[in-house]
Amino acid sequence: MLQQSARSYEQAFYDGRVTDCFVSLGHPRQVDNTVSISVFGQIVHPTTDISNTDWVSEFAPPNVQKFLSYIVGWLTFTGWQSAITAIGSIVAGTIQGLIALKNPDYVWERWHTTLLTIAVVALCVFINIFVARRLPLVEGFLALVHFAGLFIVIIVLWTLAPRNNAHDAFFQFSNNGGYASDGVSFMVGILPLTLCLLGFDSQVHMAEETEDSARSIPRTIMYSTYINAFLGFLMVITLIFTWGDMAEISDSLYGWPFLTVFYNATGSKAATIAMTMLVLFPLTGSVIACVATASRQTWAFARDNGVPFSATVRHVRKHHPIF
Amino acid sequence: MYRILHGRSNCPPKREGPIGSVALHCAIEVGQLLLFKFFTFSVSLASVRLPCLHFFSGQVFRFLAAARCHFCLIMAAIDADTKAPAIAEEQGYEAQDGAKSRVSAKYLGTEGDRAQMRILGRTQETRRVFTFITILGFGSTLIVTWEVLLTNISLILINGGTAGMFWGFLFALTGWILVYLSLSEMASM
Repeated sequence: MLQQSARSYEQAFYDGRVTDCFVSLGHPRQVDNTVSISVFGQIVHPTTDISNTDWVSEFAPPNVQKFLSYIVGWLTFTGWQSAITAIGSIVAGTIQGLIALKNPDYVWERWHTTLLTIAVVALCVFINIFVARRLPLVEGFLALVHFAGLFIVIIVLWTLAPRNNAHDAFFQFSNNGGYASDGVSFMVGILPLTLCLLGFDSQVHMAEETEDSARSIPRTIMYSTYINAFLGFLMVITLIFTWGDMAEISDSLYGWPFLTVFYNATGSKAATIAMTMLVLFPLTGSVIACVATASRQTWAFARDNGVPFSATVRHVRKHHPIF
Repeated sequence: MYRILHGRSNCPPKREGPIGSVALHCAIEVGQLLLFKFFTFSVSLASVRLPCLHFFSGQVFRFLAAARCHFCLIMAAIDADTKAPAIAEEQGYEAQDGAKSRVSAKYLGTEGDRAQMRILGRTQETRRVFTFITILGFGSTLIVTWEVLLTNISLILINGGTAGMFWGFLFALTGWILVYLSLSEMASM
């Protein structure tokens, strides 16, 4: 199901059909996109993990209060749940790309991706349950890889990859998706770019577990936005200059052209795998964080009797060492 | 702002948020003005070639002016809210269900955290183990900007190319920063 919608999402980019774009709205990340816009809701009082419903019911007109907050609650709920699998499938696909790189005889199958996704998500759920006490440590370590890994990757690309000229890099638009005009194509291209910066409201859901949350939550939202925007900007600059031949994109390793870029730059499979690990670790950390956020969100929504079997979901066992 | 909008008095005491500082207020004011000037200029340039834009630009200016007034009013309300006495603490709210938290005192957070939980009538059931730095790491790890960028790159380069990637990133970033600014402003209430 997920794979299919992901496929149709990618198809829309190649074929340039409007209908496919609408179909691709079914892609979980897209749902999440919509959701994140509507989740201003989450955070009237950051000290507690607010169910989004609280905010909406504060600001909605009285006669639609309940309906709207219910809708927004479910949107956020489904959005965060599907974000787990969406990033999980990226991790799984990248692992498949690495297998294909190392072993040229490997035959790519869809169900491999599905099974790998299940494995990745299961690992992250395991970490969330049994390493819960050390979660800040785990997340801190992965954040370090996330910050430091970028510099390793871009330094390698800057020194080894071929250089594009500045005029082409900044002013050559392409429209290979089959859309009617360059403008539409540009707008479609922005869609994946917005995904990169999506989801900073996650900290809000962790508010109930943060010290001095009224101060630190809003600050961390902005600081992490600025830090990540800076890192993303460095990556954009690096990629537009060191990107190789466009024709190589189409026959790259199972839809992960960055593996080809790494391989062409370094010329060594071991180096490519090492660099890809620097990408994979933070992505796995992202799944862990998504699981944590989604579970808190579900719990908060259950406190307002939003989800089915709320009483069971919101119950916190007395002696269980949750945090 | 909360109190003014809703006529309620049980608003938690306002704390200084990320855009509570004077410097950021000024920066937002200046940015808004610049944006306004830039927009005015570009629309007037464009309307030389497209006369029908004259009508449109009038509407847009009216909307922008209204938005600006609204923004200033909200800012004034926030300032008033900051200076208002903390009514909630004077009245001393109790938890609605009267349940006692099972979390040990070490993990209950600061005084402010406890006061707000009391106001909201919620029992602390989870430990407050994340500090400023670790929650920053948590958020940054969840977003993974450059990793997701790498994995999505083929889609961007097919539609837009390298130039589309650069300008599109700036475009998306501007929008998201505005979204997160308002998000964190709400969170600081």
